[in-house]
Amino acid sequence: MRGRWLAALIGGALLFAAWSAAGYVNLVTVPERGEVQLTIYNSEDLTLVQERRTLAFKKGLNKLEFSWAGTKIDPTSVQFRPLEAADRLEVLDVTFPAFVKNTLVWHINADRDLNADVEISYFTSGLTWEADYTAVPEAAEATLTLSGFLRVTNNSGEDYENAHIRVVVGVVHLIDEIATLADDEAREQAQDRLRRAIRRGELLAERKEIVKEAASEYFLYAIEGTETIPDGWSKRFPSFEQAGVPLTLTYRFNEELWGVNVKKVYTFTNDEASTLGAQPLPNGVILFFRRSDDVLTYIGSEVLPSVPVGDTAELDLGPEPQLRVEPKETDYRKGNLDIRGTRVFGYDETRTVEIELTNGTDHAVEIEVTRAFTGDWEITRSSLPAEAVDYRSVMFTVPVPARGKGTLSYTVVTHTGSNAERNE
Amino acid sequence: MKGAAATLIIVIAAALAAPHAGGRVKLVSLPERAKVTLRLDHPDAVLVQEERSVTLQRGLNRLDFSWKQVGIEPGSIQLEPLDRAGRVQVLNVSFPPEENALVWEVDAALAGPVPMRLSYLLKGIRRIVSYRAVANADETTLTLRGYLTLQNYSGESFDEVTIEPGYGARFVKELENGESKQMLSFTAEDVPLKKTFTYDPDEFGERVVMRYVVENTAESRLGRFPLQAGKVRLFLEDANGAATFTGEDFAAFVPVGDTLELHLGDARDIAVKRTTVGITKIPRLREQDGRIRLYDSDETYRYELENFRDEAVALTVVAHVNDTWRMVQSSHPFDRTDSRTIEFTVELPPNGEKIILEYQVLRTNLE
Repeated sequence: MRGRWLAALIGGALLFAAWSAAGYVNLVTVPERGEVQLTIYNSEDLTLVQERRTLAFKKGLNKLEFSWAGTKIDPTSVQFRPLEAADRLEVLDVTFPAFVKNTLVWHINADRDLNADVEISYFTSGLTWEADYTAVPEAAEATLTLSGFLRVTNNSGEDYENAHIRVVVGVVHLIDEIATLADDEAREQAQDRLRRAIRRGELLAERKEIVKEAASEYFLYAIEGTETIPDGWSKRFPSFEQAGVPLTLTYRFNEELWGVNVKKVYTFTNDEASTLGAQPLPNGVILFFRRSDDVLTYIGSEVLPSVPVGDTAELDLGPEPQLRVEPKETDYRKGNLDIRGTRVFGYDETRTVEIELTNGTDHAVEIEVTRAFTGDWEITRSSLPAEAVDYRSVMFTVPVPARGKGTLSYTVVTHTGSNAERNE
Repeated sequence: MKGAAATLIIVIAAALAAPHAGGRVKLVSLPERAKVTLRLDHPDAVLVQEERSVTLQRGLNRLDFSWKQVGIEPGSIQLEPLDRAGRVQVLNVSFPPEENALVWEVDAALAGPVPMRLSYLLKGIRRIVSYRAVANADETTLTLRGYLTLQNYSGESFDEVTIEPGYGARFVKELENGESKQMLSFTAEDVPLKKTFTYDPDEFGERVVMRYVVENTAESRLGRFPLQAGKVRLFLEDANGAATFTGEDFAAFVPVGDTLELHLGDARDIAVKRTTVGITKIPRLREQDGRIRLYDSDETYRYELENFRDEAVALTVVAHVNDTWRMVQSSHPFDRTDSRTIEFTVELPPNGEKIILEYQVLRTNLE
């Protein structure tokens, strides 16, 4: 913490009366710079800064002045808390002096001369973090090496030197509340709740690993050791690297959603069985590379959505142009007319569809072909089993040999008018 | 590296001073780029990989990488020590404010030169795929040449760079900033060619369309990799071996095993006259006032086909029929290519002999 922006000045006075009558004798003691800890949220522009300093108190009334020019500190959030000798120190009041900007003064009564560690904490904005990843599937695309990174950006107006940095994953609910709070009181209450929650997490953070906090749905992630991030800089740290993460490769065709393209999709699960599961994966950009003969090839990038422990991430790698799926309606018949008197009340339409699948790659694939229908439909015949997806679509899994072709055909009957037994 | 557009500056950290914007000391030692590769495997992105030997001190080192007016995507920059023993570790990377630069902190358990691989995505290199197809005089085979053109507007110049297109040949070239370079990716000779003539007025209007059809397979002397989408210029070799430009078309991406179809233009010497001979409504159900509620339609169509060339031609005539239908009679055999499409392939004798194609379909259950 650079003293240029933030100064904690301590003044000692023997008597309150003497101070007010004879003027304040400012025994300026720049206190020993202690530890600073940053707890950074990424769902809101909010960071809790907790500074520890060792202060010398005189018996009687002490005046502690705190100023923060040029920073983005929320003045209503600044708090003083003795970490030692709490029963000997009493905060009498806190004053924001008139005509003095960005300064507050605590009046603290000490029942004897003492040195004590204190914590000054406040919320600031301008510190943010984000996650990003690189993923390198091995040649057969059965496993991947997943590397995670954390990038901390400091635009707070304050340089942070040798700071302990913790980032909070999640907390969407609590933060959203703060963001929508209109009145100061409710904002303070929410900040108190947040502060208490963070204190509960403190013990966990010292272990420098990721532990799920039992009561809530957030995670604290501590960056080992201390780091220096000057104002305006951002810094990116490797957070984990895991090889051999089981990967499922699927190819999907869904004309309704993606037209003629066949999508390539990777899925992996954030759990122990998949060598992960130690922490939720925060959302962030993921870059895919392929490594062959020690050469990296860029495959593409995607935004990894936030993946809770136990959940499965699905990543769309875009179209695979070497795979083609060409559906063709080969037969259409309208029949089974319900004629009463001079009217047609209903009929059936029978469509036969043949799909040719071409695989230009040198490995065998399975393509998940989803077909959607409207109205009261039924599949009356199919060359491969149809798996129900929802009330209006089915999926077929079609094997296609390397550099070869596969086929799928089915017949679907649509009942219309009085022949229909279910609503659209 | 020319013009010092992108520079890798190695800062050996003497002390644990913070990398302050003001206090950043650059000890410049520009390491040689040992090997630079442009990888074009991704259809829209160019990955630059360069290997450099970086002399490290034991302990903490700072490597400062900065660039000016070069289209580097900062989020993609990676530094990878190629020392396999794990004696060199990239600890973190810092991004200074308002600068195109970054600073790595690298911990080394040894002092001395360490090979490092620096890779990043580079914007501003445009690629264009094009082809030149020369058909032999009787249009049975062609010579297909594929070209890759790189237009380098990235801001970065490359002295000697390996270009890996991901298919076909790799190139070792010089590629200056602002320069365009066309390179021959492959040549395939004696590629079997099928020339087709198609009349499909719903698709192409009243004309006979000529196409070259080529299979992207090993049997066709291709099939080693997919053909990228690009413009094809078509030439016809005459008896003297000179090539005449006959047109151009845009080829779609062709996976291995699939078919390349090139639109050649219209055949002016094949005439098609299409007439509707008759459409008869056959009532199936009437209202009491006589209005038709349900009917079938009996339709007959006729084509007069003439080939004024001096050689026979197989013409594909495509017709579309909607609804439920069946063929009642037809003068020529047909393929039902899908539920609404009929294709006749008709042999047309040379020199204008008229051929009549006629078919009758019954469309049913029309309302």
